[in-house]
Amino acid sequence: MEITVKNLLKKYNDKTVLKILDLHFTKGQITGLLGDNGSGKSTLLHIISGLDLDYEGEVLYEGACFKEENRQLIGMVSQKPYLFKRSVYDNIEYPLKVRGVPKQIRQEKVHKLMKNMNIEAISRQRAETLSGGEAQKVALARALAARPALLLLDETTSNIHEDAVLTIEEQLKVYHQETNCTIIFVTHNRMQAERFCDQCICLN
Amino acid sequence: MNEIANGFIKAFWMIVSFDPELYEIIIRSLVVSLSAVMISSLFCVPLGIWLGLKRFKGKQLISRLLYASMSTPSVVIGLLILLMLSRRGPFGFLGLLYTPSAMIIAQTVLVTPLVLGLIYHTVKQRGRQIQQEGLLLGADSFQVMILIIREFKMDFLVHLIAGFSRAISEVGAVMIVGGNIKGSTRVMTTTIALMNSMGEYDMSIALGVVLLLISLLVNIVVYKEAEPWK
Ligand SMILES: Nc1ncnc2c1ncn2[C@@H]1O[C@H](COP(=O)(O)OP(=O)(O)OP(=O)(O)O)[C@@H](O)[C@H]1O
Ligand SMILES: [Mg+2]
Repeated sequence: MEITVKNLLKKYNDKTVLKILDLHFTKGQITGLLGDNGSGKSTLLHIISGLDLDYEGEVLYEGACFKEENRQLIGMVSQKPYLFKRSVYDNIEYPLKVRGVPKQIRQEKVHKLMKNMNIEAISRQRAETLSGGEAQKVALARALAARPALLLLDETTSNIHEDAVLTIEEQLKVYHQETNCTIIFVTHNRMQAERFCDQCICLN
Repeated sequence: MNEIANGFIKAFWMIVSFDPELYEIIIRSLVVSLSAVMISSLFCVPLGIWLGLKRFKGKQLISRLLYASMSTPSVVIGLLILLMLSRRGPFGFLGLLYTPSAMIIAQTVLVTPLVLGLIYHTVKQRGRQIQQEGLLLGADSFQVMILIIREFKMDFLVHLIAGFSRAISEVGAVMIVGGNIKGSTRVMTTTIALMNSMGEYDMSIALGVVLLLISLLVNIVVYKEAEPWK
């Protein structure tokens, strides 16, 4: 999915937190989004995800305004993801369940995702009891389950051990090649941005 | 002193020998209050979730009104329902006054602001995050509603129990609309009030003990269930 941001202005009670004149996310590209704390990275992802529609300016999806159907195509792992109070398996299964995917196929998909993220061992553990890094992996697996065409990742690897980060990056690359999806990847790690992303944007 | 001890002994005997009048009153109390809470929950849960998530003008005002009405005196509710159901009232033709149905209606009206206010408060504080996550994962509004109920099931249960505790322990509303008629609309609290004024303490003590046990039991069960989740 191709995203265009034009003359975007976001305010919280008269305080401008984000101002973008022109920004383009090409279809099939991985864009790294960098910037200081409070520069508006999470705010921008929220707006692009369609959760926050209260802004001035334009955000275009394939050249059109946000439509409810777009939700089915957008996946996001927020900076503080909320996992449901159920098992890891049930969390990852959720997006497939709401789309009415048959049980057999759900099972296969969830198991494959858990294998890719290397979280099979915690499959039956309740999500409230996971460590920070484990929770991020589960949130990422859950976001990938519905195979979004636009994937928004907000510091999704920040709590994950460096070896595991590399594995996850590989998995994301595989997913990216399979689907030719657009990825916006927020990170504070310049090295990671350079090795993982096709282009980088710095907000200020 | 002797009289009190005697009262306790007789009360104990009534409980263990399954005194029919005593148990009839206990069961009626439970049926009336449980029905009220269940009916109330049918619209408090969806409405509370909706109010908690929705942004609209005047939400502040609605919150204030709702929180303020959570502790409406039960006699006021009783009076209100009495006026509605009395023969010359708008719903007089239903002939419900001084029946258990009238008591259920009164208690439903009594617990609704409390349960609604508690559910609204919980959802307003922590519901939006769940709503957003649900929407992101592709859920529609109905699926989001179900998701929120599942995520908050323990909180909501505690809110319903709070409503039940309020209903089972109030006297004013059921007294006014039920009339405390022997064999038909007597519940635990109204019987205690009446028996005391007549100086018959055995029944009062027995009912008082049962009432206490019920509240204790309910609270123990709830908090035991609720703890491991926190
Ligand atoms: N609900 C809100 N009300 C008021 N101000 C807000 C609100 N949400 C965010 N802000 C402000 O908007 C600015 C941008 O926040 P945002 O979360 O987008 O930053 P960020 O770039 O993601 O930072 P970080 O790197 O720390 O995650 C911050 O100054 C923040 O305080
Ligand atoms: Mg952020």
